[in-house]
Amino acid sequence: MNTTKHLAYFGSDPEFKNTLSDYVVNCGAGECRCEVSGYSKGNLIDLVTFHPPHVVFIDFQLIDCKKDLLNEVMYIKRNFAYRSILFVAIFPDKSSMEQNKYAMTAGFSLFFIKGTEIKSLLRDAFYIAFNAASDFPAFSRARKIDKNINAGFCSSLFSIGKNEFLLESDLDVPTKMLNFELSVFPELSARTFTIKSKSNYISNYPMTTSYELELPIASIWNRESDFLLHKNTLDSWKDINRELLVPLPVYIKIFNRNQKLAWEVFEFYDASNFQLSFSSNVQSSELAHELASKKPPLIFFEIDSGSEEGSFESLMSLSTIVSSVMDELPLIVCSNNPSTTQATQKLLNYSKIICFAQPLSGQIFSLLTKSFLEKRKKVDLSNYIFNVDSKVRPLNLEFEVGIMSLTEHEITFDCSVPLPMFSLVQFNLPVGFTATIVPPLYEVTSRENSYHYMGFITGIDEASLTVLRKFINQIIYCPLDDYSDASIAGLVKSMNAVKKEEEIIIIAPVKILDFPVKKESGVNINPIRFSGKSKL
Amino acid sequence: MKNLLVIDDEELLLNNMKIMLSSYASSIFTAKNGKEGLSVLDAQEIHCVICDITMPVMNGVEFIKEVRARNNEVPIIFYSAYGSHSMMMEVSKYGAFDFLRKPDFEDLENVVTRGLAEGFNRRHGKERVPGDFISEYQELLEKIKNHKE
Repeated sequence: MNTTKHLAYFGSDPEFKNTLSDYVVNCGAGECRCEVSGYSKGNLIDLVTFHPPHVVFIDFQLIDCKKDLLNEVMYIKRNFAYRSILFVAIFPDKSSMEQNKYAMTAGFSLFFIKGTEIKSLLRDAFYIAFNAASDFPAFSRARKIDKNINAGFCSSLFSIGKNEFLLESDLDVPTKMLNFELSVFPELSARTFTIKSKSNYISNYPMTTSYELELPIASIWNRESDFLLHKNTLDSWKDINRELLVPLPVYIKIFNRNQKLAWEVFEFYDASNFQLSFSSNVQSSELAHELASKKPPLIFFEIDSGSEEGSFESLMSLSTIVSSVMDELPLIVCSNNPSTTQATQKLLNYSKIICFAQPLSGQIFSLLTKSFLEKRKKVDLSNYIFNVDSKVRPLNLEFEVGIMSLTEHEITFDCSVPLPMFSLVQFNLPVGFTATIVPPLYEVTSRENSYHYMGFITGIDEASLTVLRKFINQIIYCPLDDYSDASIAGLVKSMNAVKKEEEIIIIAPVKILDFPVKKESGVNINPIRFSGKSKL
Repeated sequence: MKNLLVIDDEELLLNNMKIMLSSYASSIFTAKNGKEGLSVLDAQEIHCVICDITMPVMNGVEFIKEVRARNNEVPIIFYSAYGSHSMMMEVSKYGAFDFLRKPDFEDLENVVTRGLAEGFNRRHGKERVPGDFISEYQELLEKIKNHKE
C-alpha cells in the first residue's frame, strides 16, 4: 500500500513554498511528496487525475481566473473518487479572504491568512488529511464558558426561482423555519424563511442538506410590508443582477469507474450549460433521491465487465430506479456495451437507451452532449443559479450552540443537531472567526440531547488572534460572572483600553513586561501576560 | 450472399423459420442445439444466427460464450420467452444483437435483415464506427424530441 503523503501547492509565494517544503521534510510524518505549480485552467484537474494529492493548498494571491479555479474545485468535489481531497485556501490578508469568501462554500475546508503561523495551518491540515496529531502544542484553554450564542453555519444560495429559492448547508435542522440574513435583497427585512422542502441528497455545493425556501412575495394587498418582496422587485433584481446568475444548467450524471474520463471530459466542461456528477455505484441509497430531485435528462453509464458497479445488473438497477422515480425518463447512453441498442432496450424494457461498443471518451461525450443540448427544448429561464463566484451566494444560517471551551487554536461547543465533520461554522467570540469541525483532539463529553464538537479555528488574522488570546487569558484567570453579550463587550472594551496603554508603553524606552492591573466596567483584568508565540 | 443459421430444439419451428425467412437469406442452415450450431459455424460462412436461449445439450448462454471465445463476432439474435430474463442478461454480456419474443416473433423479418447486413459488414471488414451510433443517437434524440412535442 502506498503511504506517501502527497501535497500540492498552487501559487507562487516563495516563502510559503519554502515553509511547506521544510515542514514536509521535518514533520516526521513519514514519506511526503510536495508538488508546486502556478494555477492555469485545467492543471488542477490534471494533477488530481494522474497523481491525486491528499491536500491541495491554493494561494489566492496571484490567481486571476478564480471562477475557473472554483469550478475546477467543485468539479473535483462532485467526483466520488476525489471528495476526500482537502482543499486549503491561502489569502494575502483578511480583506482578500473577505472578498473571496465564496471559497468557504465551494469545497475548501481550511483557510490561512499570510502573516500568521504557517506551521499551525500545516499541523491542522496533516491532522485532517492524515490523522497526524502528534505535535499539537498545548494551548491555554478557557473552560466553563457556558455561553449560548447564535453561530453562523456557512451555507450557500444555489438558485432562485419565481416563488422560491434553494439554499444548501451542512446544518440539517428539524425546524420549519431558517434564520439568516438574505443579503441578496438588502431592502428585505425578513430574517426568517419558511422551509418548503428539504433534501439530504441533492446538494450542488459540497454540503449535506438542500433547502427549498419560500420567497416572501407580497400580494398587492400588503405592499407596504418590509418583510415581503414584490414580484416586480424580484424581476427587476434579476435583470439588474444578471451577472450574478446563470440559467439553471442541465444536470448530467455519469457512472464510470475510469478516472481518466473525468479529466478528458473536463476539456469540454461548460459549467454554465451543464453540471456533471460522477458516480461509480448505482446501488447507493442516495441515488434514487438524487435522480428524483435533480432529474438528469441525460445519463452516461459505462459497462465494465470486471466490476459489479459496471455490470449489466447495475445497468438494470439504474433503469428500474429511473423508471420508478422520474416522470420524464432520461436518455441513457451506455458505452462499452457489446450488445446492441435494440437488444439492450428489450432486455431492460427501456426504450430511451442507446448503446455502443466503444468506451466513452471525452470527445464522444462532448459530441453527444452537444447534440443533446441542441435538441433539448429551451431551459426554463425563470430558474437561475448563482454564479460560483457571486459575492451574494455565501450566507450564514443562524443556529444556537453552547460554547464549552476555547483556545487560540480550537473551540468546543455543543449543538442540538448532529453536524458533519469538516463543516464550517462562524463565531463571534469576541472576534469573528471560522472553525472547521474536526474529530476531537481530546475527549469531549456530550451532554444529554446534544452533540459536542471541536472546531479548528481557521483563517484568522494576527490582530484578531491577539484579541482572542487576551480574551482567553482573561477568562482563564478571571472568569466572568456571566457570559452575557454585555459582559463580553465590557471585557473587550477593557482589553482595548489596556491595548492602548500597551502601545504607549511600547513607545516608551523602558521595557515593561506586564500590563498594569485595571478595573473597568466591573470587569477584572488580570496582570498575567500571555506567553504564547506571536509575530507581532 | 448472406447466410443464416437457426438453432432450436423444436423441429417444427426450424422448418417454419426456413419457410418464413427464405426470401431474406441466400442459405438457411439449421441446428438442434448449441453444439451442432458450433459445428455449422465452423464449417460455413454464417452472417447471422437466430438462437433459442433454453435448449438441451448446449443452451444459448453456453453457445454465445463459446462463439465469442473463438473470436467470432457474428450477430446472434435470441428468442426470449417468459422466465428467461436472467439468461437474456447473461447473453447480453457477450454481445446479443437483438431479442425476439417467442412465440409471436414480432418484427422477425426486420431484425433478421438488420442482423444479416451487420454480420455481412463485420465479415467484410466494415466494423461499426462511432459515426454509426452517433447518427443512431441523433435519430433517437429526434424521436424523443418529437414525442415530447
